[in-house]
Amino acid sequence: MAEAGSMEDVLKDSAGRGWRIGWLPDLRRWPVTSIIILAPFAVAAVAAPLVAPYDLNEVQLDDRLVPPLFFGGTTKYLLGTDALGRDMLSRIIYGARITALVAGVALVSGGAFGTAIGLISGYFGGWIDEIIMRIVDIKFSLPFILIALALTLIYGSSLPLLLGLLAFLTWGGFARQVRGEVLLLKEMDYVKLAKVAGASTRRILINHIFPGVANTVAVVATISVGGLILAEAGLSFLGAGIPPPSPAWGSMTAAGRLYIATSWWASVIPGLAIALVVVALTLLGDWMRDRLDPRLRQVL
Amino acid sequence: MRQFLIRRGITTIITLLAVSMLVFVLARMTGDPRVLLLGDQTQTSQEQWDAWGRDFGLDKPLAVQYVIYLGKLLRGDLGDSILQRRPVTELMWQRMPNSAQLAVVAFGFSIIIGIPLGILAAVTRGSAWDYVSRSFAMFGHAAPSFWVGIVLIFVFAVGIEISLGLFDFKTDWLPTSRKEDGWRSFVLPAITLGWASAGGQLRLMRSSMLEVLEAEYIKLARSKGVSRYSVILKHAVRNAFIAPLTYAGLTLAGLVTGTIVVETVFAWPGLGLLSIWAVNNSDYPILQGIILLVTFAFVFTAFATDVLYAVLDPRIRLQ
Repeated sequence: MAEAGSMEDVLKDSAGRGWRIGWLPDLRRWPVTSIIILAPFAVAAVAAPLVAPYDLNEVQLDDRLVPPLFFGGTTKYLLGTDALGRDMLSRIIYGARITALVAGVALVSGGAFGTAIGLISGYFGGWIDEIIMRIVDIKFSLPFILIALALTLIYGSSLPLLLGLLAFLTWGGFARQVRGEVLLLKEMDYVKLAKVAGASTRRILINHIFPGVANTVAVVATISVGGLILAEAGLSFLGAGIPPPSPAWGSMTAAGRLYIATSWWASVIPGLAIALVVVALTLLGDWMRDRLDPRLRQVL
Repeated sequence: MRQFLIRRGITTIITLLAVSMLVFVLARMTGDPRVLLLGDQTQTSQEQWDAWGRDFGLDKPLAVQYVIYLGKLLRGDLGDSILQRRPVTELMWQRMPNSAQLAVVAFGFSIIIGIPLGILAAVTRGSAWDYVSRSFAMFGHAAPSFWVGIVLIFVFAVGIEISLGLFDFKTDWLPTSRKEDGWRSFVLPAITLGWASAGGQLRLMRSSMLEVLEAEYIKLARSKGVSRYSVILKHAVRNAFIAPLTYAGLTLAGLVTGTIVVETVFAWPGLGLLSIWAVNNSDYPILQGIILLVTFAFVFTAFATDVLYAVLDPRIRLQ
């Protein structure tokens, strides 16, 4: 999808209206909004046991559905508690860890597979390319959520299944973009010279072509990670994600939904965490794209 | 044009075959249908068990089973629900109108909001309007739809009490689920479902407009002294419309998948809720039928979209 009005422009518009303090680095050149939003979540994900005020699954039945601070709650539970009296803040913090882990593993495995497939497809061309690209087309026309539900029905929900599904969701985008890039690169003189010099196909692909597509891979990775998190959250919400009592944000939202009439925070806060992280990652992805590979503007 | 249609048609058919094969393989992975119906073999005699095996066609090789299965598909036979003992097509047919209505209303919402805002954002590029429009688009894309639904329910169905000194009111204006009172129950689910695609339409219309506004014929129209509104509405919008129009096809197909989550939030009795029911009750034939239907809808719309694109844009037709 063409998208000339990127979110980077939004940043420029808001941050670039002249105000600039001398000793600060030029804020226009950095994705400030993303960094501000993502930093606390990153700390939470890395150091969850250190920063979480309570144990993850500590049930306090006397303190069920306590509202957050400023909404009738106390400093004891800053973001309130859920229906079992578990501290929301602690669960959000551990949830950040789960989100980072799941999205990270799925992105790396799906990205590596898709990149490899894209390299092969673009470099060898011909019928190999034709078959691979048809498979990618088919992948894009599958209703992801329904296939995920079907597999969950068959195997039951589990972490490996979820990771596999999410990796499957992402590989196609990598394969398509990398293939397109390889089609251009393989016509370059340096690649042809390497071939003449007797470099093996493997060596050409890994040492000569891959560095040329690394930027594209990084951009596609940043742009797909938001979608991955949303997909994970959606599946967790439908009960096809990581089984409870794991504090995945999607399943927390689903559990809190039952108490919406009396205790909004139990479902609104975990969902807000998802939305914030995805907004920040979207901004970051647009920034990366404009920085590393402006040509991708036309396609992503 | 003809070659394009043939090539596109062949890939469409290949995709449908691949999906039917995938669904078939998944069906076999759910295990022996006899076990699903009876629990285990001990309750029946061996003859009875084998007879059922023959009825289900389990004694034949897998490839033959697939061909038989495909033949049934082509005749519109998707098998029977395990628990409800009724044809899957019948169950889907009952629920389909609800999902379709919701998808169509959400689609209308995304067009009515997305296109004008996209035009506005392009024309007022860099202004507050532009900024607000794009934030709207980005948030629709980033916020999980189930969460948007829950927040909307909280604000407009549960209601927030607002007191303005002289008069107090509560914002519990809309129902949370499908009621008989017509349009009101559509409002919240349709916004929830349509927001993301409204954002997509907005961004696409905006970038398409920006591109067109740079074109020579727009400059010519301006220099001839055509009024600003006339230039925008008559010359620019018409030409900028092609990209969002073709995207609209895919939007509609995407909305069908989106309904699964949204129907869960709003207890909307459509195909999405049916598929969740099927998962919770291990009723694979229902889920299989819905997968096939949704994929068919998607592939067919993509095909129709490409054809429409070719018809509308002579540059593509002549390639």
